[in-house]
Parts: sequence; C-alpha cells; structure tokens
Amino acid sequence: MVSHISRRSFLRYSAITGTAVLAADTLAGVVTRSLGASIRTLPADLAVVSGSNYYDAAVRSVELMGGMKRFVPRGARVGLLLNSRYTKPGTFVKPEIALAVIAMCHYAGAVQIVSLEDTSSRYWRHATLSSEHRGYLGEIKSPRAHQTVLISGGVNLGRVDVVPDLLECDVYINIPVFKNHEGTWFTGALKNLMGAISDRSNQTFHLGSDPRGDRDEYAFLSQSIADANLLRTPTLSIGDATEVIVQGGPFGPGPVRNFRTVVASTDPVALDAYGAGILGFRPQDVLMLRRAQEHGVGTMNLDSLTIIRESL
Amino acid sequence: MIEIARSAAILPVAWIALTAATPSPSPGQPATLPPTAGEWTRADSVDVYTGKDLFLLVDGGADLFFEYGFVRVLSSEYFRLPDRSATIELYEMESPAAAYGLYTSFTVGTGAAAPVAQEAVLGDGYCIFWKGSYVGMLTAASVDSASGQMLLQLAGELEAEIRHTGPLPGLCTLLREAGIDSRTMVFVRGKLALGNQLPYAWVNSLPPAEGVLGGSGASRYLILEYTDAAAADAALRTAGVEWEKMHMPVTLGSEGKWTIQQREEEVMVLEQQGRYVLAVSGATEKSEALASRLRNTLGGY
Repeated sequence: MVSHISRRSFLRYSAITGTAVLAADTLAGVVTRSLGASIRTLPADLAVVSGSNYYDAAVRSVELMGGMKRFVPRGARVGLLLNSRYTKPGTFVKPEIALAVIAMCHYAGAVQIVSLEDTSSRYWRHATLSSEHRGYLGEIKSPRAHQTVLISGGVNLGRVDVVPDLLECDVYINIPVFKNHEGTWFTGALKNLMGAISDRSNQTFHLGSDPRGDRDEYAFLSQSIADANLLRTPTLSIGDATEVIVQGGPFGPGPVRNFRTVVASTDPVALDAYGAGILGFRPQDVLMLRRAQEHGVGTMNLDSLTIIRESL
Repeated sequence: MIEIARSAAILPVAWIALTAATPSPSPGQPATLPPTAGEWTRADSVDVYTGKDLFLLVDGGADLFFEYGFVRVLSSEYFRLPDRSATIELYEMESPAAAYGLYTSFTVGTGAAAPVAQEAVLGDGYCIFWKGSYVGMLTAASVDSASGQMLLQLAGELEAEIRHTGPLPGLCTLLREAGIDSRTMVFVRGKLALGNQLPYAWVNSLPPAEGVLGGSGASRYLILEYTDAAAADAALRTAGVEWEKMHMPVTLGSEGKWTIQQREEEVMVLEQQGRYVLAVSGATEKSEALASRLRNTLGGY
C-alpha cells in the first residue's frame, strides 16, 4: 500500500499525541493518562500499533515509546539500518515506515542521518514522496567502507567486517521487516544487523571460517547472529509487520500477509519475540532469540514488559 | 555472479567468461534464459550465480538451496508491452528430487495448482514451477486481475526450454500411490526445510534425513528415512536424550513411542517403523487412523 505522506500528516499526529509525548518526555516511567483513554505507563517497553496507514502507525509507535526526542538528542548523528535490499512484495520495509522515522529524526533535531546499508533509489519508488521527504532523502549519507572489529564474548564470531558508522553514530535505529526466513525461520531486528556487515563476513555466519560438512547451519547461523548483536544494541527498533512474506523468505517469491502492524521497542530481542509471535512462531522455538537472550542482548519474556497496543 | 551481456559488441567476451567460469548445463538443458518468450522480451542481461555466490542473490535464504543441492541460478527480468514486467529466477538443482524438494518447500499450502511444467503453483503476483532438475520462480512487478494469466504464459514459454522431466522422490511416489494428499507434502532433506515447516525446537534434535512432511491442521505427519532400521532407532534414541537434556515436555511410552507436547493443545507422537521415523500429530481417533495408514504404507516399502 502506498499512502500520501506529508509534513501535515506528521504534525497532525504530533498534535494528537502531544499530551502523551510531553508526559513521556518529562515523566518517563510514571503512570500517566494518555489520550483521555486508559491508564498507562509511558514510555512503553514495547509499542504495538495497528492500522492501514503505515506512516501514522510508525509515528504512533514511537510516540508510545516516549517520542523520538527521547532517543534523538538535538545535534545527534543517527545511523539508520533499513531492510530495503529486496524488491519482491513482502520482503522489504514499507517506505512509509522508513520515511516516518526519518521525518521524526529530523523534527527531533538530528543533524545527520547515515544509512548503515546502502538503499537504492529504486526502493523509494514504492512510496509517494513529498518534496520535503525528497529533501530528507537527499541528505542521507552513505555508509563508509567496512572495517574489521572485534566482538567480545562471541561464541562463533571473534571479529566481523562492519560499517564503522554503526559503532560511531550517536543513535542507532534498526528498522527490520518481520518475515519468514528459510535460514532462521524468522527474521527481524537481530538478523537485520547483517545488513551493516560485509557479505564476506555474513557468509561466515552461514559457512564458518573453516566449513565442515556436518555443520548445523541453523544453529551456527543463529549463534552467529546473536554474537554479532554484541557489537551494539539499537537505541530504538521499529519493526514492520504490515505486508510481509510468510513463506519463501527472505528473498521470495511467496505468499504475503498483511498484519497491519508496526512494533517499536528499545529491546531488539523483545521486538523480535513479539514479531515472531505475529508470524506464528513461539519465541522460545526461534534459536536466534534464545541465543541473543543468553548474551544479555534483551529478553524474550514479554510478560515482564510494559506493552501498549493501539489500533488507529 | 556473472552477468551475461547481450550487447553484440561484448557478447563474445562475456560468453567466453561464462563458459570458463560456470559449470555447463546438462545436455539439452537451458544455458541461459531466452531473449524472447512469446510476447515477452528479456532484459539485456542475465545474472548467473553458482555455488556460494548464491548468497549475493538471496542472502541468508541460500542455506535452504544448499541443503537441497543447488547448482546455479539464472536471473533476469522480462517485459511485455505496454507496461508489464516480471522477474524470473530459474534454479538448477543437482537432481529432480532436489528440485522437487525446493519447489514443495516454497509452495506447500500456497496459491493454486496451475497447468505448467510438471507441477506449478500460481499465487498473488507470483508463479513457481518444477520440471526435472529446475525450479522456476516468476514474480510480477504489479498485481491485478490480468497478472496471473500473464505469468502463466511466461512460465509456459520458459519451461518449454527445459527438455527433460524427472521423477518424484521415491517416498513421495509411495505416499501418492497410497492416496495420501500430495498438495500438503514437502520433501525435506535436512533441518532447514523441516524447521521451516515444523518450527519447534524438538525438530532440531532429530538427525538430518530425507523425508516427507505432510497433512494439515491438527493432522500432520512427518516421515524421515534413514539408511536402515538400526539408524532409525539410533536417531530416535539420540533425539530422546537431547529432549530430556533440554527438559522438553516429552514422555517415552512403553511401546517405545515418544509423545511431545509441541503446543498446549497439540501433541506429536514419534515411533520407529523399519528404517523410518514416523511422527503423527494429535492423539485422536483421526490421527491414529492416519498413523495406521502410514504404517501400512511404509511397511510395504
């Protein structure tokens, strides 16, 4: 679905949610009343927003997390990791969601946005862009060449080649699409990190540096992804569970289901655990999540979190 | 990745590079994608990926192809006036069984059966077919009421380039001849395909083997084929030790059957049948009837 996106759309939501955002920015963690509806604790640990306008759903999910200003201080350099590599239906983040995040970063006062994985101009053809958004996209910086860095505490991985901007940016925002992945059953924020890592390193996630015929690819890949996530935890993750491929992923083709949902969290494991549930997986069955939790990257125990759900 | 340029000026060089660097297709099989296919015209170039280069095309999805036995893929885009386009990937696998397994892994439970190649499925905006050692995957750039027929027409043109058909895996043939519903079958060759269809942690403890996963809803079954009865028995025992070590909700019955609680309302019962490990979901009369039917079928194989 392509929806028209404008500054007015963003401002409208800022106005609607103004009270909640103000409360969240100043009274983080305190029980407050939002939108005159139910008693809530803002900010949420995990925000789930459903609706057919994906741009608005993305904005609202971040508002429920306390607003983008909570994460992006004025003058910050933001690293954006956006799953945009493929072109088949259900395999990439809806551009409306990415644009909403980019706009929120600008309004929060970011001075620079660096794409942590090159995004082709073809990707943005999926969206109707306002002149303002064209301006934002024109300012996005490409990542620098991969550099080898050490991973402390990794089980499979001791080092990887990664774009240095991932580690150097002030704010790291991960925007995955929740979809089927034939290698790990499910992919979300944790797996999306591989977008900032070189193809050469990524192949060792699958094959190892010393491939053996009897390797358990699923277990090895799952552990490697968990190891890589020791590099840096996202400041914020916003997951796309709108039109996603549920079989034949990550490349497709395959059947696409529309869950009309955007999920946000500061915890990538929790985000993925919720996303896995949307696609019908039990989080504890997805080895990548268990391994990441063991590393202390986050928790897949959703019962321990404050989750706010809204429908637009 | 190798790009086959169609430009006349560089064609000879590219062709030499291609033939030098990639395995030759089997006799009578397509060396490239045709420049035209009915009313469709191919893009100038065809991308060819072999071996581990498949990662460059499908990223982590490549593991599944390797598990089945990947040889190479031809990838390009086709156009049809006034404004239609479709991408095509034609995967060459190591055998018809490998191709059939990949095909079923992508198509089970999706789309509608279509009269193309040996088997085909048409979904919303895509068509996947199997013929011999090949799997074709076509994706329309836009989806509307006409796109399905157009994809079928293009798929028909492309599959005609593949001269040889191939047999089903033996176990699939056996089950089909016994009247087991073929539309729900996935031919698996390892843990990835199996895990994608049966996404439970207990599945990983079973030693890899070829097999068939089938059924639907509360009546699912899994048959894994090992080299002999001793290997099947060892596979189940090895898995049992793992399950207990992982504190999984499993029980071992007096008849050597393992019962696994995979969801609150769903159990799976595993047993050895000759060189097979047979698993059937549910503990109802219906599932027992299915198990009995499968036992009888496997007993004669």
